[in-house]
Amino acid sequence: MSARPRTTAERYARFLRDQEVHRRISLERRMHPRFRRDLAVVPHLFLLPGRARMAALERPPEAVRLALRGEAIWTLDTAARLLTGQGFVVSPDLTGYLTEAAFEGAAKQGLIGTPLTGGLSIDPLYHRPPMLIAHLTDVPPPSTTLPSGERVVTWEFLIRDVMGTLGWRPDLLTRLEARRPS
Amino acid sequence: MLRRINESPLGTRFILGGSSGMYGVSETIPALTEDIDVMVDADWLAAQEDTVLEHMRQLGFDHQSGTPTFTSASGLSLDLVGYSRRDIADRIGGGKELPVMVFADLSRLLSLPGPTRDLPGGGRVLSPATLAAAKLLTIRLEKGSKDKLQALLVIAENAGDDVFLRHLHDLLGAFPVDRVEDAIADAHAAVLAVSADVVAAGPQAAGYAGMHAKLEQGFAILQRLAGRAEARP
Repeated sequence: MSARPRTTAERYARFLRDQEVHRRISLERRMHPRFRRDLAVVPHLFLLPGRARMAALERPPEAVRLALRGEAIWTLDTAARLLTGQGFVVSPDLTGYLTEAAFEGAAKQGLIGTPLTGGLSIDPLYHRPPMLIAHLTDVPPPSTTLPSGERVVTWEFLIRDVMGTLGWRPDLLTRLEARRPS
Repeated sequence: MLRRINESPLGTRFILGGSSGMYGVSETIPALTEDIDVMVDADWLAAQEDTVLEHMRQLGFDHQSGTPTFTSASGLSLDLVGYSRRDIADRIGGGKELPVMVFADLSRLLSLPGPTRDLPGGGRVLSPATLAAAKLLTIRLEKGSKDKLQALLVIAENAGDDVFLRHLHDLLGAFPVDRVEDAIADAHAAVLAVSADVVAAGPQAAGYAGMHAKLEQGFAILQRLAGRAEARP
C-alpha cells in the first residue's frame, strides 16, 4: 500500500463508490417488509463474556430442563421450542438465564458437567454433546410462565436475544413469528 | 500541535472534527486515530488558499499537492474536510493547490444551531451532538462501523444531558426520514458486529462487555430520539 495520501479527486471517487454501494445495501435491507419494525429492536447479548457459561448435559435435555423448571428462564432455541414447537438450531442445547447459585446447583446435582472455558456458541459448525448454555444473572429478564410451570423470556426479549446472538436474520425472525402462539 | 494551530490565525477558521473530534468531546471514548481532521469553510478556503498554505508552512506542515493532507516532521497528519455555507452538496471545493471534499451532510449540520463548542485551550470542536450526528450519517464502507460505534458511545456518555439529547433530536430531524433510518440500520449492524466480536473474543474480553452495554444504551436512546422505539419489555 502506498504511503502517499489520496488526492482529493481520488477521495471523491471513493466517496461516490461508497455511496452507490450503500444505496444498494439500503435497498436490500428495505426489501424485507420487517426492516422498519426491526430497527426498534435493541439486540441483547446472551453470550456476554463473564456472564455466559457452558457445560455438557449429564442427563437427557428433557430431564435437565424439567429439573431446572423453577430456576431457569429459557430463551433462544429452547424458548422457541417451548413456545412454538420448533427450534431454529440443530444443536440440542438448553439456553437460558440462571443465577450463579442455580448453575452451581445444577452441577452439584449432576445435571451438568464441569463448565467449559471456551467454545461458546449456540450454533456450532461441528457436532458436540448437548450443552447447558447459561447467562448468569441476578436480574432476571422479563418472562412468562407456561402451563408446564417452565418460564421463558417474553416474546419481545426472545427477539432481542435472537438478534444479539445471530445477528439480523429477517428470514429466521419471519419464520419464528409465523409460529408465534396467539 | 493543536494548541499551536489554535493560536495561529487559522485557529478561528478550523473546527476539530472527525474521529479526532473525540478528543474534544470525551475523555473516555477512544478516538481510534492519531490523525487530525479539521473542518473548514471550503468557500473561504478557495479565497484564502495561499494564506492557509503559508500559515500551515509556518506551523511546520508540508502540504501534499492535490490532497487535503498536511504532514509534520513529527509524523502528524492533518486533513482538511470541507463544508459550505453557500450550498448543501457533495463536491470538490477549496483551491486548486489545496482541493478539499465538501460534504453535504456536514454543510447541513454546520448550518444548524449549536454546531461547535470552544475548546478550553482555544479553538473549536464539533459539539457532541453534531459530532454524533455526523458520525451516524457518514457513509464509509471500510471504516463505517467505527463511526457508528463512536456515535453510540457519545450518545451513551451524554445520556443524562437533556440539552444534548434535544440537540441531537433536532439535528436528526433536519434530515430525510430514510437517511435517518439508514443511519439507525448502520448503527444496528455495527452493534451486531461488535456482539459477534465479543462472543468470538471470549471471556478474556471483559472490556468489550462494558463497551457493549454502553452501545446498547446509546442505541436505545438513538431509537427513542428518532421516534423508532417500541415499548420495551
